[in-house]
Amino acid sequence: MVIKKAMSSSHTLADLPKGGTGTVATVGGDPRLRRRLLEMGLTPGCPLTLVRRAPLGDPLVFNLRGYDLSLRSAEARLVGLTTGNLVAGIRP
Amino acid sequence: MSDLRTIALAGNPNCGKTTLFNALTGLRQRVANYPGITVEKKVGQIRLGDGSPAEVIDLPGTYSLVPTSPDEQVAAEVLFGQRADTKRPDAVVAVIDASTLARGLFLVSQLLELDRPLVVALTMSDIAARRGIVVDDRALEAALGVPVIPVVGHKGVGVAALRSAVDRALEGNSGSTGAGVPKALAKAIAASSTSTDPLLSEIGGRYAWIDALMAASVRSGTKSHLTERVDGFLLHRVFGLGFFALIMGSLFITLFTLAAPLMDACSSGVAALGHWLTASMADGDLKSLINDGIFAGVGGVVVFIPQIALLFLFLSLLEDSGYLARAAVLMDRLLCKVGLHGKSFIPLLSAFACAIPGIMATRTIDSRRERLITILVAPFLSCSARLPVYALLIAAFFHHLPGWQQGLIMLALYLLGIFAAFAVAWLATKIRGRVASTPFILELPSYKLPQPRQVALQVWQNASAFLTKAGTTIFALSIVIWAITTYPKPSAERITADTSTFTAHWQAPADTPADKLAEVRQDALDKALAGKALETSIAGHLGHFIEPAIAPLGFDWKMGIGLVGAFAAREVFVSTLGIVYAVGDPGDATDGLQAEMLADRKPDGSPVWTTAVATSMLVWFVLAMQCISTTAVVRRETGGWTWPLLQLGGMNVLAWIACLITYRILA
Repeated sequence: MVIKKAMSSSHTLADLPKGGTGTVATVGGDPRLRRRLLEMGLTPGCPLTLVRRAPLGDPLVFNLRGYDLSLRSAEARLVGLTTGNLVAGIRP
Repeated sequence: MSDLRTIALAGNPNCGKTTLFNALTGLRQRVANYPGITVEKKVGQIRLGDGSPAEVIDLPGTYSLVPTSPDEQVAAEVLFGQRADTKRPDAVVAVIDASTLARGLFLVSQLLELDRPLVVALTMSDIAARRGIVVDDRALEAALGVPVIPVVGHKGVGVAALRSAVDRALEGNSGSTGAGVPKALAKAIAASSTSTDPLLSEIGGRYAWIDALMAASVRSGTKSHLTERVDGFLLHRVFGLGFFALIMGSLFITLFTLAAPLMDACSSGVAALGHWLTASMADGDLKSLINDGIFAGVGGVVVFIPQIALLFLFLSLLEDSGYLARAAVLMDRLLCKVGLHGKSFIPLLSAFACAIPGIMATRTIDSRRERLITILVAPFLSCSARLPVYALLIAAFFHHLPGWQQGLIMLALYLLGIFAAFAVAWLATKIRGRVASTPFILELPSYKLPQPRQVALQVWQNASAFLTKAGTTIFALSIVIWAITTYPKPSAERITADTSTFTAHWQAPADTPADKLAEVRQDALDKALAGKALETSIAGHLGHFIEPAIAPLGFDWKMGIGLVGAFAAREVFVSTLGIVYAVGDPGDATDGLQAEMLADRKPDGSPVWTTAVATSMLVWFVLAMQCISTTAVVRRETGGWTWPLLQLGGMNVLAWIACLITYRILA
């Protein structure tokens, strides 16, 4: 099996379609924001789903680690996803 | 600070920490503030196994010991023993929610490093079980090396076991050493720390440990279908916004229709009590102080209770059910456009009842900039104290309009306040330069049925916190206002002169029965003299003194006295005008006050109160900052005089300009 390069800057949480699932590859942002995103469980390898968008288009609601987390598109763009679902076996 | 041993409850927001705190301490708890900030400090008492009392501190909810909001900062400082006002806890209870275990365990991984005796309380196992999540608490306990006790706080399940675990934790250690960091955690952090990214390696290491721990001790279930289905509706493009409008609409209607009669009952009840108590006293300054100073002050505070209690009831229900987080999501886009934040929504909503609880609620906003702007604009939203003034002026000057149009004027006043708040927030953001917008990171808790006991306790605690904070200021100011409207008293010659002027001009109303004539005459004389006395008092002089400043807005010195009185609390404007216009307490005679205001004439014979004046006055009450209690709270919140003075000056200048424009256009 060929594993593609794990991240691509064009593919972030903000690009997920409604109901789409992805796996976190990278987390950016200023140190304080980056720390909080990581602390909330958005660590590389963590799978998540875009559950819905708010009625006015923003913020977005994600499901990860058994709970719902709301982020604006601006924050969602800081979280890069692995392309496809090729990175496997990170979480049970 | 006491020598009692203290136990701190730490946990994520929404993890059931407060429910557990209530179950542990019963009603033996008090709510205070950490000095210098308005973050709530909840402390309760329990008895340890050996019978000695101990203190339990309910820390603000936190996701991490590296804080991002004032709330979280306090939690971290207490746990690290960095606050001079709070003793470092002798033991820590980590409260974690079984249905969101990973994030709870993240906090536990930090708490383990604190080197304090630690006990883990596992809440919401029942909710988790419904979703098929089963936590093997024995396996968890073995892996963590600290006791793990499953509890259901509102049913009291596991509370006894938790108490004895805390006992053992306190006994087993003389307080110096904790359980220590599990080897696996230390190893996981060390394993990932080879990378060049220390932040990622630290947090990634913790989550690697958590993932392994959960793989071994948790049977994972599905996500909450109920919550997903409800959110499908409540965050829906059409239904979601419709439901939001419905909820907010019914909140407003309830506040006004239910609270207004209760407010009247409260204030007239207090006034009646004062009159009853002083019935046997001779007329004089003491009686006046008791009735018009002390009891009027108490009444001025008590009058807020129904509104505040109803507001907190609504907020508790919405918060405990999980809806408030959704409201923040719904409103974020809109608020973001004017430089505010989704989390500004709750403070701004509260400000419609009273700016003070609104400003107190801003402490959950992480960013200082957005928090300050929210505090700055909150008083623009029409609070309940403005309502009596709006009602009086609309009824007096727009009585020729049909009821629904009067309602529209009322609505327009509220909308003007909202518009001003948004415009000023937008402007403030422009002036200070828009840095990249503050992040919005908000957990949406799963929906739960609010527990009546928790809600009742929350309403009680919030309402009493409001009464102690705002009440003392309003009360003290009421006494000051009483003094400046009473002293100095007119001289005896002045009274004689006024009495003879009165006698020369007074005519009994045509329908007065002959046997009542003396009584009616005396009553009218008393009221006329009270009006004259007010004119010679400090407040009267202040009214004349500020007249040049307010004349361009169409206001005269009598209104000036009313505006001075309004600084105690805005609704005092109505009762002060009642005295100026010599109709006595307008509480039961607002019609009389309206008639007097309409009949008031300038020296040239034109009416004093025109539609233009009334409209200008309404605009003044929407926009002006007249509430000293709010200023006091803003000073405390922002830790200095810069913001409260900026707010006081800015709002009043803005109100002055807006009134000038209104008056010039209409007059």
